[in-house]
Amino acid sequence: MRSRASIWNYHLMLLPGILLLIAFSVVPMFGIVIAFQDFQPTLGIFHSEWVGWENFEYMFSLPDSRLILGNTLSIALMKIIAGLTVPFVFALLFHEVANIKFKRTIQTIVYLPHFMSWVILSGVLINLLSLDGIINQMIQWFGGDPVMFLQSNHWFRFVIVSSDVWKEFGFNTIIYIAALTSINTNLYEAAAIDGANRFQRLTNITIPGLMTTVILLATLSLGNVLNAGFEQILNLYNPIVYESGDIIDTYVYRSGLLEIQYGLATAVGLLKSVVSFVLIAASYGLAARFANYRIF
Amino acid sequence: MRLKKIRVMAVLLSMVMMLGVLAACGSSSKEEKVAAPAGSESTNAGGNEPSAAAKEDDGPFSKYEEPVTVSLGRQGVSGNNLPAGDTLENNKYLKYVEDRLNVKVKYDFSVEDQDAYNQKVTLAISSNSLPDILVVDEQQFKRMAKAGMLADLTEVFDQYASPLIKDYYNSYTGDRVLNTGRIDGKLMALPNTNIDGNYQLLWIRQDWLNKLKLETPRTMDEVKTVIKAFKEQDPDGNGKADTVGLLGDKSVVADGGFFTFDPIFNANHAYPKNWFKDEGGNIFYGSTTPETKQALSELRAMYADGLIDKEFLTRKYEDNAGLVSSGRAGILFAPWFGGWALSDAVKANPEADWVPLAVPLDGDGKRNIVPSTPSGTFMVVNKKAEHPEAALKMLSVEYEGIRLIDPAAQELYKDLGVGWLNYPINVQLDYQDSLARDVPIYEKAIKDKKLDDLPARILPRVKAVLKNNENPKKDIPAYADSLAFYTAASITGAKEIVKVEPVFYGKTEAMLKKGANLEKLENETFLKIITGTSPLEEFDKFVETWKSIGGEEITKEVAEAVESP
Repeated sequence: MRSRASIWNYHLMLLPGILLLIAFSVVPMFGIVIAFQDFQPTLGIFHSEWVGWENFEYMFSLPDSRLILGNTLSIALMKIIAGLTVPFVFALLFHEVANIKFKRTIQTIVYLPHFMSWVILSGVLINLLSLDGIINQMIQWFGGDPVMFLQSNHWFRFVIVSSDVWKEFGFNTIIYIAALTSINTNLYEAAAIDGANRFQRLTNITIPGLMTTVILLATLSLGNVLNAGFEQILNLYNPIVYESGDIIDTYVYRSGLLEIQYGLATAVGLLKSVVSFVLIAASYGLAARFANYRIF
Repeated sequence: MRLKKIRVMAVLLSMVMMLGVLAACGSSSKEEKVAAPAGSESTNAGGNEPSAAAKEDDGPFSKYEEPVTVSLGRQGVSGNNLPAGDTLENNKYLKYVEDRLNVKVKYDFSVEDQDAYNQKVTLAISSNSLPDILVVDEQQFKRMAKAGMLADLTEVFDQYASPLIKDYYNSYTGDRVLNTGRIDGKLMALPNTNIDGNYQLLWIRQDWLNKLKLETPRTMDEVKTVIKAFKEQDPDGNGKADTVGLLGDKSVVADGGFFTFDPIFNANHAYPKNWFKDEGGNIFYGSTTPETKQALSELRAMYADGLIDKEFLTRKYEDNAGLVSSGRAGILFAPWFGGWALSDAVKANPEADWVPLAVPLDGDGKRNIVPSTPSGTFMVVNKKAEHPEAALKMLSVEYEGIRLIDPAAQELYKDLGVGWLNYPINVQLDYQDSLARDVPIYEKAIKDKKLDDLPARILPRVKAVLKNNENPKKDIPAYADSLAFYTAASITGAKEIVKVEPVFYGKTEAMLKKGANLEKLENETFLKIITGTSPLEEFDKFVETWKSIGGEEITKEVAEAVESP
């Protein structure tokens, strides 16, 4: 019989993680009371004046609040959809490549951007997308008019979403490739003997085999829906595209850190947390239902 | 007879007294408590004098008996010219201050980037862990004062600010600079001084004008003609249409800003971001006037015609500077001290010949300007600081060094062009009319070629002007100094200048709370109108929204503040 002590060992292994979680995620939660205060640093959280819902009322009186929430949701949803489909399709194509050397090279190239910070990548992007940048030169070469991608509310979200996909798809592909290798090769052999062609093998074996992974990733990413990419947008936006690109995080950064409106910034941040909580709970329910993914 | 006798006696007496003083000086010089400016190098071996005497001598330059450590947070300096081995944390300027005052400087943080610095400051405020001395902006200063984090400097200033520093402040009419540091009559911060003449000049490539056979522009229309020619007629002669028009900055208007469009607004009699009183005695905000709308429509047309750099919104300061130094831009707005930035272009291309002009002029041939806000940054001292007076003493000593009053300071980094920002505290102080005050001195020195009786502080600059006149553009730092301090500084005093004085500077309560959102609305609207993203009519909507989300409240507060100062 397994002794109780050996189970305790396993529990002990959880301890560092739990401690970190408490230190960095639970303790700071008390800071949200600032959202209901006229926060004065010298007085601290305990002695600052309580103002009730004032910060929230002010937040909703601003013409920006609805815009910011809308931007955050739409950018995040577009990112989730593109971020799921592109690596999926890429992994399927990749799976069909036989040449190992070629495969490795491609894989390295596509996941390289994942390791670069947005500060660097945004510099690259701004150059690529400028009026005399390579993309506009190509457009002109085909007879089009140059486009100012980063100064246009029409294009800005598109740039944000596609550059995010470009940065991350190579890395996300790895998950699918891992899932692909776990599909039993006997199935393919049996299908081949039965006379299934490549496309039929794809639709009948590969895609169903990957579906659980897709659903799992999709539902889990719902919890992330309000993280539309702070660092990326901060480095790429300018006042003209606030209309289409300003998200909760960039707004909180500007008003909280640059303009010293602690109460307001915390109120906006708290709103984000509440919405995120609902979405995480929902996505957990969905994951449990469709992908049989359970923590408890 | 009797009278004469008394007089002789008096003379004799006074001579004796003077001798006595001298003797006293001589005998006590070894144990000197007060490090007089010139005697800064003398070693302080004292320490056994009664403390009462020390109290008496306690002034701006008195040296601490025991070493005192002061913590600072500061913004770093890019291109600080320090020789290898020396850093912002360890250089001769810090050592100089330390030697004279026995004050050790310890940096809590030092970051170069403006935004990052502001973040550090706000974090320090929010966590209530301030260094002893900080230089902050107005909003941060007001917040800190409101939160009761700051030391009252009223008495410390009286006792420990050197006469020079007091002179600087006194040179501003109506005490208007020092007043910005006062709250309820108490001096809570030491403001910097924005000297006269920080408005934007039009900088233009004279060599390009010559090449395209164009006249020096004066009116707005002439300026537009020049921009158009610079843009379209390939002034650099490389056969490519790669020159951009007028450079821009996304802050649109800014006091003393680089690449901002203030002069175009001013030529339309528009003065955004300032407060005025109309004839009926009502307070109004310059950004909401019909003149501002007019200026915006002019900028909008210029942008649409490609006269303004199409991509100015995605450009940072360095990008614009890059366009200048690579010879792709030949016309821009910048203050007189833009001379330094533009000298870079000359380094890359000696043919580039930048000249500053006080244009565009309005219909009456005037260049209207709004005088700078009295101050923009504030030195504050933490309430918990052990030696609040150290800040004033350090500043006093610093300015003896910066202005080269102390001969010892003249030897520090001699001729290396190490900027004054490397001194521990970065508060810029000068006489209100310091530019105008010096220009005649340069002119006289150039005419007479005599440097003998010039004040020490101005000597290096006069030398730079002379050096550059002899051998133009050979020595780039000398060229830069000459371009800024002499050429551009004399333009700032042009006879076309008309000052339009605002009625209110500073920040009211509601501005602190709602100002940021209002500014965002204003900036966003202006940029959208200029770039054609929104129609011009958006301006009227902006005025409405501005009023409803706090503008009206702020206007009332400003009116009250103006009525009862």
